[in-house]
Amino acid sequence: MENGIGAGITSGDVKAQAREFGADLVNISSCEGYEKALPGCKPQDLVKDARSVVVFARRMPFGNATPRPSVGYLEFGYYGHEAWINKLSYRLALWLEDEGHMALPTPAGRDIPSLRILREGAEPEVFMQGSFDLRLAAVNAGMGEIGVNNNLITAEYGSRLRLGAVVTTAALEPDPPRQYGVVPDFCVECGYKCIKPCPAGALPGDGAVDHYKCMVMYPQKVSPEKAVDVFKTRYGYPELQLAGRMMAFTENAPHICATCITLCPMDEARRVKEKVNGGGDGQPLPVAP
Amino acid sequence: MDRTEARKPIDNQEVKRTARELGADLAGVASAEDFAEAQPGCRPRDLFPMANSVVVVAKRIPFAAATPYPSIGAMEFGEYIPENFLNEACYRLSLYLEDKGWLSGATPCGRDITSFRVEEEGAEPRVFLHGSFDLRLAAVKAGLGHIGANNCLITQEYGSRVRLGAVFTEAVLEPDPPNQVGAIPEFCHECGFRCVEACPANALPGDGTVDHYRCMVIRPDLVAPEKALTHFKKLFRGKPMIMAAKGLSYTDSPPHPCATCIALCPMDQGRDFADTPFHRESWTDEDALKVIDPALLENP
Repeated sequence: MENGIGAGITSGDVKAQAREFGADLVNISSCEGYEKALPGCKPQDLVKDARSVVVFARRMPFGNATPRPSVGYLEFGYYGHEAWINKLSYRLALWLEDEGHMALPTPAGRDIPSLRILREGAEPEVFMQGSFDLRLAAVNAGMGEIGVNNNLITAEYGSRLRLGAVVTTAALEPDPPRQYGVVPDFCVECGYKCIKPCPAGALPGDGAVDHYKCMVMYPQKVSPEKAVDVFKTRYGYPELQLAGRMMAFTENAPHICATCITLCPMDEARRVKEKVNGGGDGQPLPVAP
Repeated sequence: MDRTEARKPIDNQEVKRTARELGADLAGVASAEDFAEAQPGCRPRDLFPMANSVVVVAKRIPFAAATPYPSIGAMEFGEYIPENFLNEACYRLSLYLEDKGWLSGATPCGRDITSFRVEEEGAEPRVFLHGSFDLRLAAVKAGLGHIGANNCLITQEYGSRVRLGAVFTEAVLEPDPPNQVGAIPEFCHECGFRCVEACPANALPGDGTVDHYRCMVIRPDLVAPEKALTHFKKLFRGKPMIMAAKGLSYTDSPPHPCATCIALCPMDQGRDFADTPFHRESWTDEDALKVIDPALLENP
């Protein structure tokens, strides 16, 4: 078969299949619009002759996305959730192969090949990146926009989801892309409920995040020198060895904080809950008795 | 009531059909009796004394993820996820057989390392490690393929681009016709041993075996043997079950980043996807520096 081009599957077929494998949302982007990706992280860098990116999201259960640390979030917002999405990506890639197209799944997070320490001292600055920018892909595929919480915000679940993607040589009809790099209107309407509760003070409000503050969560209680020393040890591996260790959770636990995900009023479930409870003030949810 | 009276009849075809429904790409059955070539303690009846049959299943790695150079795709979708997928499929197949009245048990799809031996120290170390069960041997006996010059199972359908899992069961199933153990298959001669030439570790002598030390360090020319041996002794220390548990949970080590001998096998039907499917067809020194712990390098 001619390398994926002109073979007979449509965007509709791919989306139906992804939903059958368990995706809550599924969108498609072309390989255009990835100029903002970091070097080596464009779809064509991952698969030669890539034509399309299938991006899908699976939500975490509302009860596990707690605005305070919880064991349920660690398991069902991270370990289990990511493994589950990775299995979905894997099955979708094999399905595309069976249809005659090359397809590469990309990990649902934690595929970190580097942590760069940009500044040491009292106010350290660090930068961490993955092998493929799933949020950029989701925006290019029209799934949602990047909010002031630096996360993807969708109309259906707000930020209460995790993303996966499959890069493929199949030429699929893309969905209309959304804008990238602009604070969306719905964030202005919300009034930035994620910024104040962020325990790290890591969200400046322009859609960016301070990686150091987000990682340590309580910068006011953490010694910057000790933190930077920990980072140097924990992330001080050659890039693919680091990615393998991160994906296996070999040397560190998942990130414990999900406040900015849980408080986003764009989450339909939160809107329903607020209507029922008369809440909606952006305060953490009450702890169950 | 004797539990054997509640058993429902089951046969080779039904078990293989169920395995495929659970996601297996390939499935075969071997008799549990004939495992004379296995390491001591690693025969089916050593692991499950009631075993009469071994069901062997294979799941393929996505072609684009099986790169002939290290990649994140190869680690995540060549190891973690297929292993996770197969472990679940074998778990579910075991329970399915139990529900039919036949006691069964699954064996892990890789990383269940129970033994590590240093056979020779010095400038050219020799080590030997093995898992709790030899899945490749079982796959050959179940007729799924042959062991090629790359020391991997080679199947007609996907070449070596597969991971394996197995279920032991007390059900007496008609075995599939076994393949021959211990001979280099004809198709390896026809290929001309591309894997042997491309191996960045030079770990394949071409007789179907692999040099475990070289395969583990990937670039023996860059790594200091003493440092590597010290590292392995620490990584694989202790009792077999502790060692296996750590391996299974990836507690101390990431996956093996090299899949060159898997990716380049021309028996893989997926290689028809394109003439030059990958960005390149071999490792570079730069790749080695992306994956090898600097603490092990001869000249860090």
